[in-house]
Amino acid sequence: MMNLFLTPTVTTLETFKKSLYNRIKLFILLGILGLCTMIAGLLPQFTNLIVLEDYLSGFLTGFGMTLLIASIIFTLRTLKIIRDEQKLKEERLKFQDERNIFIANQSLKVASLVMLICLYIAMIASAFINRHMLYCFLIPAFIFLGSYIIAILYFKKRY
Amino acid sequence: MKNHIQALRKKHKVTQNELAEAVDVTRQTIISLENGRYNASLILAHKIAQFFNLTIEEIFIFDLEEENI
Repeated sequence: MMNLFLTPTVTTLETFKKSLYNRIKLFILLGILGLCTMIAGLLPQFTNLIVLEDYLSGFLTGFGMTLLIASIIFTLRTLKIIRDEQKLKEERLKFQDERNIFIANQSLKVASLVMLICLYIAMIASAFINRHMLYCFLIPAFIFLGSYIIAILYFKKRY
Repeated sequence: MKNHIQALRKKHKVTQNELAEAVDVTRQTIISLENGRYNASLILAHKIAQFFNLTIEEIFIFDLEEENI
């Protein structure tokens, strides 16, 4: 999953250390996102500015807190790896191993296909319920297909 | 794709871990290569060939029928 956000072409241990520090920045960003989500969930409890169902408020708070805790755990784990030379070597090998990259790419392909199929089924089902619900499923499907086409055109030109 | 990696490794008395470290992959990748479950990229095949001081064709058996060509 990390390969989604970081390119796995790392040659030396020093370059990998730098990429791990970039990973920490990503985790901190995730933590900030979690904090904002948590605040968005808690705000309706304390002010009348936003009105939100109890269930949704709880969902946002819980989701935000999970993101925040996950970001703290991953940050500490990454710092531990950076400090240990042996763990750093093992992690670098795991990160840039071509078989692991191949497995990650294949998994992403399968996950995208499953997501598209589920989106399509949800889209058809929601058409019988509510127009706005239909748009909620239709728009992500269009964004997915649109970004796929743009990516194909870009990589065709590049390679 | 079949290959002679295991035989060459035993001949040179090299462990899977040592070979993996030498060619910059994990031990699991070497295991998958030896079992024929994973096909090495050109760069990895070249690194393995260089490690054993052989050519790629001497290590990897390219079967036209198996590859459906």
